[in-house]
Amino acid sequence: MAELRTFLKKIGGLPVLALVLLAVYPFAPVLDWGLEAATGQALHIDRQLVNIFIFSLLALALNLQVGQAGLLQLGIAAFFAIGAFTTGVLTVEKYPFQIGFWGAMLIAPLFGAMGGFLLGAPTLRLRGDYLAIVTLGFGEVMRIVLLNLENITDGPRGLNPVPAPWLPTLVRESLSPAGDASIGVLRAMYFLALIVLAATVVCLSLLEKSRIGRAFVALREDELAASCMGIEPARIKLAAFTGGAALAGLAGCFYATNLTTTAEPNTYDFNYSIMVLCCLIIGGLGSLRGALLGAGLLLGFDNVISPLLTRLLQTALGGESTHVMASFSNWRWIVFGTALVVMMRLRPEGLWPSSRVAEELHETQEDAS
Amino acid sequence: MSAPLLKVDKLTLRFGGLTAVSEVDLRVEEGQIAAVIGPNGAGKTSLFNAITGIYEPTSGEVQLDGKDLQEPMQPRLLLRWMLVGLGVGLIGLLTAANVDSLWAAVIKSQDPNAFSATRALHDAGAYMTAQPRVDMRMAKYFVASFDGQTTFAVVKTPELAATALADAQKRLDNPQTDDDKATAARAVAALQVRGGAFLAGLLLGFLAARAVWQRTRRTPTSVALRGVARTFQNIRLFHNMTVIENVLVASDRHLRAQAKLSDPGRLTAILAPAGLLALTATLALVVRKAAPDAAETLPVLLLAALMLGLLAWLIVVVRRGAFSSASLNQEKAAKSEATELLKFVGLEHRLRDLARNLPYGEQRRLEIARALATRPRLLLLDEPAAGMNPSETVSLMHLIRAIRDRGTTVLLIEHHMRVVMGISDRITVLVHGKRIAEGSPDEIRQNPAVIEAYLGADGEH
Repeated sequence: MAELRTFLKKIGGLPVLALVLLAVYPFAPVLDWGLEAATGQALHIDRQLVNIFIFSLLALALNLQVGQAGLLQLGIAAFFAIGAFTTGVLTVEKYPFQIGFWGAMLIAPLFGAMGGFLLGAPTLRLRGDYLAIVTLGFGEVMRIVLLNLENITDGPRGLNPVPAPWLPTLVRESLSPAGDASIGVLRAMYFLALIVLAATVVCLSLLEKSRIGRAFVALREDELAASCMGIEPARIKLAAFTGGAALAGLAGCFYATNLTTTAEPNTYDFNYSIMVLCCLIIGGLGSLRGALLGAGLLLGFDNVISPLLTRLLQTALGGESTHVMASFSNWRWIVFGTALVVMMRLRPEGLWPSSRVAEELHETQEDAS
Repeated sequence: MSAPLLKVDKLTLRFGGLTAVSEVDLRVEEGQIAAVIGPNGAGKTSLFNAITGIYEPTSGEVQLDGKDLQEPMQPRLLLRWMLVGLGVGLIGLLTAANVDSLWAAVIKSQDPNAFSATRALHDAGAYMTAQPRVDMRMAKYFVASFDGQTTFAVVKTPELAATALADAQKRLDNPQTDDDKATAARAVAALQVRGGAFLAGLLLGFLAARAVWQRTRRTPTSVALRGVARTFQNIRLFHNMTVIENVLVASDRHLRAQAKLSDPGRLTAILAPAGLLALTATLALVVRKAAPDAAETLPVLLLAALMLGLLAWLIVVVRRGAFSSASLNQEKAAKSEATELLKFVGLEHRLRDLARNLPYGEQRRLEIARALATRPRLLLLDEPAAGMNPSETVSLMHLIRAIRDRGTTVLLIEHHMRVVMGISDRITVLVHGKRIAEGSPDEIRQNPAVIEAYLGADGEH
């Protein structure tokens, strides 16, 4: 154990190790090989990893708002949708803009931020529960607005096809083995998402240690005392809210590009927001590593574990059962719900919390007891 | 004699029927230690809360150094409210005009691959002013009313469409048939609704912005920034932060004030990544548009260089742990200032401990250090000696004197008579929210009203 620690420290810690492993994974998908040999089913874990990276971005966005700034936001899907549809409008063939992924990647966060600012500026003075209700309402309103702006968003059909990012031929060809363009696109998305995710984690962890990060903690602990020390609660909260919304917009841009469609507006419903919140709670609210772990676990369960279990279940039942419980993906809400209840009871700070949040939670428990 | 540092005039604070503070006058001279005493429930803490902006006084004025602690009315505020109003008005206008139809009229009415921005602007103008306009669908030109309900002509060339449009305009300007009259009337009604929505939004936004400003003219933050810091009766530290972090939070404002845009370190932090990203994206766009297939080597090299630059920046950021040298320098300066302050209050051995693990007396000292980190001109201490043992009390008295000697004026609430009488230059006595006496410690000690109301009729303490 100690040797492992020194080894980790030598190469720059767990994050660097994870980054290196993820960076080589598409070229040597060992897990895929192993699972394919064991189950006879191709799982395409690298494809799922792209989804996990994108979802992690979204989880980090929500973590900035809920975990770090302490603003209970239940409508993160709205900003995700803004990012996705901005990308859609700016890139699809039916509109004249067609600025491609790279331009959209810069503009989608701007629109997300604008949405966050417009919602946040008048409402962030509200306290806890009221803010949650406002954001919940905004999430639903945004979904319905997107459904009804049929001329712009094509209503329930969504905008497609969202083109893959343009890459120089050299890069494109070096990423595609034997000229298979679809794998090249997949790998391009994989590395783009990985790079953006890594840069986001770096920036957010620096933010945590900066004066703004300290202001977040101070506001969470005692807003009145913090404001008497010259910190402007409204401004700091608005910054966190806008920043989180921008990040969610960026995640939306990646989501639409990866999916090649904006998907229908109903995708971005309340359940989606709650799922992101679940990630944070399972991983550890207010902790970057927790958000990443939560996103990995949740999507990993949905996209990797659950098809595997379904296959096992089907074999056990002998053939193709059509019973509703025979497909494991139908169990997902039961599993998530149970996981949440168990977590809340046994480990309310999450699986991998930041030390500070764990302290805060245990303090309130001591106070209560 | 110069003007007092703190001047409280006829300050009244009412909660419903209860008058917590009633027409209290208070003067604190610069460089003095002043005290407010009075029995429990006399309104001392309420007075502090009203001064520091936690409560809004029912009436009365609070001035620091001759300036009202409320944010003064300034002409540029009008501009700000106006901007908010314009924003809300624009949202109202777009909603009333129906963004969806606007989009159809401006963007969808043209072939996406032969899009003309001038035409789009013209279309937008026509749509917003409810003029008839030309729609291109299925290789035909439809000349229709603004809402598409009346079609005037369907033609095949843009030239014919232009003449048909002019005709339609003429017909609507001078409507003859019932149909035309109805269309013209609809246009007028639509314009009225849009104008109304815009004006309503403008007014609403303006008034809302003004109301918010009015309610936040005096906030704890703004008072703190004007140089009044305080501690709390029930200690309000950030318990799960370390001792030095507590102090650093309070020096936040000075960090920000020092972070001028002119600082080259800060400029690079903002511009380097943003500029690199923007350049990369622009280049990618330009190359894609200009030469989709040919001559890719040069842009590839450029892109690679830019990406490497971005990566190098990220590595530097990770290694230094800050976005720019400016922020590093500020952090360093703030840390040394915080350490110095903690040394000043005698907590230099506790820097890395969590605040909640400190013993009570040290928590009080930490709260004082935190308040001092805002670099106040006036420090309000709410019962600093509460819960302290005699030796802690004596060192607290030394500390308060030392704070005064550093140039910070002190106003304290205290029940501990030895502290009050020992260090105060002036004492104000509050009873039931009213000021009953003011003077030097000796005068207060001998004031019969004070003895009667506060120390007890027999004068014993």
